[in-house]
Amino acid sequence: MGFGAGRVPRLVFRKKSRMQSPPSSRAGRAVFAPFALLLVLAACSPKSPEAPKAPAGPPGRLGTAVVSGRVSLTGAPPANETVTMTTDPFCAGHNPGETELPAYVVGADGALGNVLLRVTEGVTGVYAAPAEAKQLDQKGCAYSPRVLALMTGQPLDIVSSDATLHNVHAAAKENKAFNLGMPAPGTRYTRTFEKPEIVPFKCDVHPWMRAWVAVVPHPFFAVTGPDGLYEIRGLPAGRYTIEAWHEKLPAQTFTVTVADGETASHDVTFVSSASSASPASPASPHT
Amino acid sequence: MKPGKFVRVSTRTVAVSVFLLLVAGALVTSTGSGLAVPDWPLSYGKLMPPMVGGILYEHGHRLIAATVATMVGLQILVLGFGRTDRITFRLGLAAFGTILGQAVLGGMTVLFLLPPAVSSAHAGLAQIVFALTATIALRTSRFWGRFSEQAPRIAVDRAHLARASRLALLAAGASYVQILLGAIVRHTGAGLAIPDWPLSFGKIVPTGSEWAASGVLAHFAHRAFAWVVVALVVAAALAIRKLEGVPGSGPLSTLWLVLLAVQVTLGATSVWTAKAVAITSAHLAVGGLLWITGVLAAVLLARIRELSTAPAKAVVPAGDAAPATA
Repeated sequence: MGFGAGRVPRLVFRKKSRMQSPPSSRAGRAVFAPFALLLVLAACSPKSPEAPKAPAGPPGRLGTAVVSGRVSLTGAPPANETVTMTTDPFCAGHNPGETELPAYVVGADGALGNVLLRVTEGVTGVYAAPAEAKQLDQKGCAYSPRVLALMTGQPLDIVSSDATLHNVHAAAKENKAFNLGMPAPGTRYTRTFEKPEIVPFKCDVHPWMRAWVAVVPHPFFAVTGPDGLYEIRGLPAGRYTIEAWHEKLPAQTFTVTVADGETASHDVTFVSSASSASPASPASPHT
Repeated sequence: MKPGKFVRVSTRTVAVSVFLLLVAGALVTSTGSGLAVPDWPLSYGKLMPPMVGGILYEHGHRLIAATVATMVGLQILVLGFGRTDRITFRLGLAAFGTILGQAVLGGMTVLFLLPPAVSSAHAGLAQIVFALTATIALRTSRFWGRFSEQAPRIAVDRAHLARASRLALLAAGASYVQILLGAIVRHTGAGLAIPDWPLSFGKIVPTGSEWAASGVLAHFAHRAFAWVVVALVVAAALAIRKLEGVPGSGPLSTLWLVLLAVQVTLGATSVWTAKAVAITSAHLAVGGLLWITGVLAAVLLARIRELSTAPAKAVVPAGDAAPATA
């Protein structure tokens, strides 16, 4: 048996009027209509942001004022989530057994690391981005650093030191999202972000790998180390609102007034409690 | 002439393979591996990257999809050369066209970083492929031949048959709408937007600012529409059970109700376990089976209505009717 000489082609080429459409054809249109609608919706969904024009406005000033302090966590620190990395022998070799994910980096006397402090109000003018690149490495199947801050327009070098495959998925909302393959050690990409935002980075190959890259429109920011200390330098005299952001904890803001040549000290305390810290629900990145 | 054993086994194998492909796709989303391979159609520029971490799920899904798409394509030849009727052959063509479209959607969703509309369309179209191949497997089965032979002799109340047929169609349609709602929940990350079950934030319906939270509307639509599906499937299954003398009506009704109970349980357990991978994957798979049961029930009931109204001389089992081959 073979394909009939007139049968199968006729199925394809015979034209029928709308009135003659069999019920199956109408059903077919009804079935495919939702997909057409979904695709139209997809086509009409917000497009990736275009590359913005160079920011215009008076140049921002640098001063000699400093805001510094210490960030701490009171109460028993929440337990960090643990994972086993057996899905990738390379990762398991570097992290045998159960590995703690460093969402809460808590040092002596409750010092809290990986907290971003950035001025959110009080800065005026446009600041030029430094040409020097910040670096986000993938090392031992973890991002290093986990929290990183840079200026709008400042290059970010994304590198891999691992002899395994990673992908770098930047789930940006305000900037253009991207997903890059990092197939071998030494792979390097350079990207810039033009709009302020905290961009979550993840590796979908190794879902425990998370990082946050804060994009700030001025140079007045800092990220705490394990000692919880921060220092924001070069501020002009003035009154500023500063936000303290942690990946798991609700953000806090405070206001300081500082004069040229002076240092204003302000400590930040996060409270460890079930209501304010939930390991299962990270704080939403925001602009 | 009826389809031979090779045709029967082939079409059944294709339908089961499509179901396994659905499960593989469910594992990709349940494990969050949809972007573990950033390029398409190659994977990290290769045909075969190291199968580590999320690549195992994403690239595994691609390999299975390529194999199943080839099988669906070859099925056209099997149907063409295998004495099947014209409708079944057309279903084969539709299945192949649909799975090719499905592959394009799969590639698009990777390249555009999982836009919810495209990912949801990918999930919804997968179930259309499943329905087409399952219907082909049914129409080429021995059961279909026997069913078609017995149908004209079945003494059944025509009004009751029409009612059961309408209910089966409605239940299948509602199941499909529910699948699309579930796909939207899954691909917008709304699976835990309402953290409790059966209540929603401790109430029957969320109130006030709870609606403003991300994903709550989609999630609640999915769980509210589930009760519409439950009502329609129960009504259809009971109506089919009353069709005494219709071959397979009892087991079909029971199977449908059991799948429904399992599916509701899996939906609740998905919330209670905070989206455990095995549970959410099973929820998608059983949802597919529930929908296919509705489709096949509707096809069988339509077959009885078709044959019981036809003149006696026109009653010919599908396997013998108007072969697509010369």
